[in-house]
Amino acid sequence: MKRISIVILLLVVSQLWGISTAKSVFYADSYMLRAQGVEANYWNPAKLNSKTGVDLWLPFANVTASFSNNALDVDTYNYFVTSDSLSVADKQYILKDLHTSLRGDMNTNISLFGMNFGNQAFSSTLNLSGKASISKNVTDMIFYGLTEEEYKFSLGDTNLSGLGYIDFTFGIGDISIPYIPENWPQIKVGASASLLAGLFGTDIIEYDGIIRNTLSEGATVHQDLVLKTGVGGGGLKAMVGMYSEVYDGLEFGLTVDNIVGFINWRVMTVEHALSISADDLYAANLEEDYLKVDFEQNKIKPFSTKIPPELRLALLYKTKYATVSTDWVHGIKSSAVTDKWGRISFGASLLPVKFLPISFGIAPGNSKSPLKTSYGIGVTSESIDFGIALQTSNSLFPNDKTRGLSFGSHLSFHF
Amino acid sequence: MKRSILLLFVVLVLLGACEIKEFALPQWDVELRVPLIYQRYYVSDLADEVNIIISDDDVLTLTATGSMDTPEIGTIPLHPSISQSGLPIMSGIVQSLDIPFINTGMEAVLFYGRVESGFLRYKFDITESSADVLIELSNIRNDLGESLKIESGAGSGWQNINISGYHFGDEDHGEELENIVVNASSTSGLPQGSIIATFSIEINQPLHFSEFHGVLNDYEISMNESSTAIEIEYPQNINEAITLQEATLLIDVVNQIGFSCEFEGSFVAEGIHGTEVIPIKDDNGNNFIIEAASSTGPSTTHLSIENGLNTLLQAMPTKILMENAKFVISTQSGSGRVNSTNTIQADYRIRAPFTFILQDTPITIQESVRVEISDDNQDIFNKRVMEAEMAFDLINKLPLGGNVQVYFSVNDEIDPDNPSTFDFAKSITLLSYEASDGESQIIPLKLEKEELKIFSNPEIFLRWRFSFEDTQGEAITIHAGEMDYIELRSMVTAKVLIGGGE
Repeated sequence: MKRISIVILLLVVSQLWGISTAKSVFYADSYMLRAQGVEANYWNPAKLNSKTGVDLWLPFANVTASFSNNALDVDTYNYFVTSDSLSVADKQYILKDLHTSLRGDMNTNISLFGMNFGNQAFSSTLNLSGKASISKNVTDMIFYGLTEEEYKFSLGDTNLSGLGYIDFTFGIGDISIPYIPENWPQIKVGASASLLAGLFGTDIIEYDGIIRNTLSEGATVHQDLVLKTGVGGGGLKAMVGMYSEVYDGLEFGLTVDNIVGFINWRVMTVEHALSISADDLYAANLEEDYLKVDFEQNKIKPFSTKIPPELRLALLYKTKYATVSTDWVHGIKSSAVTDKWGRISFGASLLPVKFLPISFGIAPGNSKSPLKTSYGIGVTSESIDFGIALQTSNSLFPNDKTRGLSFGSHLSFHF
Repeated sequence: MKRSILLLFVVLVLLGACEIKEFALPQWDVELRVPLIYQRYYVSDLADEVNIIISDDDVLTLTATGSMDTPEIGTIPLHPSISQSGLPIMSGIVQSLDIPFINTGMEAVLFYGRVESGFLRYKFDITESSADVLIELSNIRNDLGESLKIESGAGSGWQNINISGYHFGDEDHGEELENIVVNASSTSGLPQGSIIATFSIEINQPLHFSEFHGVLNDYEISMNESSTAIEIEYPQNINEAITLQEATLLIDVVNQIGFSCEFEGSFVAEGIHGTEVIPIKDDNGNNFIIEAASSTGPSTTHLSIENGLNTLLQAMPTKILMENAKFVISTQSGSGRVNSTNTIQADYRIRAPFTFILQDTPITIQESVRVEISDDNQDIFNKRVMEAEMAFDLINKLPLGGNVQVYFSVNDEIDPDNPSTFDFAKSITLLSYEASDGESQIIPLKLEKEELKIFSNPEIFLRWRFSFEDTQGEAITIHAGEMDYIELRSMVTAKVLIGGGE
């Protein structure tokens, strides 16, 4: 049971890497120029191509589920549970990768329906995502106690946001840009628009906290939090994309996603305000109402959850037996589905056997995001495409150092 | 194909290597900090607005006020010897005669007075039956200004006249009443000049004057014995620890009597250091002279006494009273006037700023401080504390240093002098304001294992005792402003073992 609890904890605090469709997991999200058929609706509608025939998604046939965190792994867990007692060095080892906060994201993308007709596609997916972060002060207090006189908390290190919606996306692509000089490579463009049916959205919009414990002032606690939630709503988002085979076998692509992205919550919108305060407490001076707790829930006017635009650039190089690609993505600001820092990823696909592609992906870590690597294998034929993939965080291979997993399974039919 | 299968195999093997161990919670230590006490003892809290006040210059000051008064002075008795016998009354002739007003007592000289009680007696010996005699005492008048008249015919032998309400002398004369002026007139059937009767008059009983103008000699007016003594309660029993060094005694004497007089008496102070008595004298050792009331009203004489008051304060009095206090009117006071309802009232006030020498006696705060320990903390201190220390933060704004003792017990009744009433005690050095610059004095104290156990009780009690250092006989003044206080804070910091099995 306790092991399950740990897994659930990891799920809760896991980290999302954008909105992924199932096959993107195969390449650590270096997938913009690889997406074809219905998937191009979400990655680069310019790649919607009438030559690929009809591509069909069945409900729940394409699934990704990912979770990760920035500091804890199985090795740390094992180290923790197999120690009889923790020395200062042990604590430092366990918390060594926690810098400002323990962050985790999760994401689930489930296909509901998808079909393309030539250079047009219509599809629908269910997207569930969430982010949470807990200040390092909390883990410090757990492992070291109240060694500091003052601990401050803010929205920067403590946060919670979640978003669930179903998209209905129509895309059109494979449109050549006219009037391009003849000696230039052909440039294809496309666009997709999504009608979003919001299921839920929640965000902490205000948070300030302080815990102070000093000899000269006693104990002081202030925690002020405002959480906004919305249930039921509608919205839009759009994507434009282009690609071009700039050199023989080398493609370049660019997309801007989440244009005018928003979900307006209307059915039930509530603001939850929690305020906890206690000042200058000494055990000898405690009064019965020394801790003031105020919790208010107020219905509020409909509000919108913005989905910030995200820019993606990609390169793809194809040979007969292999492809390699790289993607760079950067959100304008952070949200439940975007990050305001850039990240790069690389993907490779090998075809040792024509019907049995294997894939790899790697996204180097940075100060904000851990290393991610993907491994996938599939079976492909003229009428069916199937594969499974596993993506790990913080490790090249799934092992004790892994801080998160993404699973992707893909099944589509071609006509 | 083989390569792909090999790769898949490798991945699965690696995944299989992710063994998740069975959960078991290790033990580790964390630091627990419990702010325990915050007490600020203001000097001004010692003020009770009754006996301990804060003066305008923010100095804590002992003050004691009292009031004594005399009873109403009552009537002034005189013992005149007035006697005139056989004064012949001649028919038809108006006669005038001065009868000397001889005061046999030396206690007073009458200028003017109103008789409260007294009798005059007279006798007519009528030799002519048709005689009708009228005697008029022209300087004995009633309230209407009518002279006292005596007519013959009231009977034979001595007759008494109640002369209550009659006035002797002229109010505005301002000189001794030497004679009673007797005017006689008569009619009869005999020729003019014939002796028709004899008249005798005498006053040989004391006369009591409710209003008296004149001179009094060695007339004493004692204070009421029933005056209440002043009881002084000292907060925190500080009278055991200090001896005040400066004091002033102010006495306001309100005199309704139209005589100046000398004030005699003494102050008695009873305290834990004994009983002290000081006579009420001026700087030259003489009795104070109280001014006479004027025609416009009572006089107020302000007396200020400083001499000898230090002696009085040595007792650190808990009870102050005025003893053997009286006012003496003498001939040196000159002439004056007095009414039987007149009194003399003395309002007195002792003011002693808290400039004192410390005694070798600690000051113990009377009330214990109660600290509630939560169930969780009780359990922690009972089972999981590895080590702990108690840190104190002292801020001393007073010009006194010394030691602070804090006594810990699970019972409220802590007697610092009886070790069986507390579990343990800690002593902390307290620097004076000058020595510490008024800054925090952080003092960590290690708590022994046995001492820690007290925190496993639902409540504990602490009691503070201050032992101030000897000031080497130097007097120190204590102010009582907003910035004059001793602040005590403490925090228990413990290394606590958490996690693991129970």
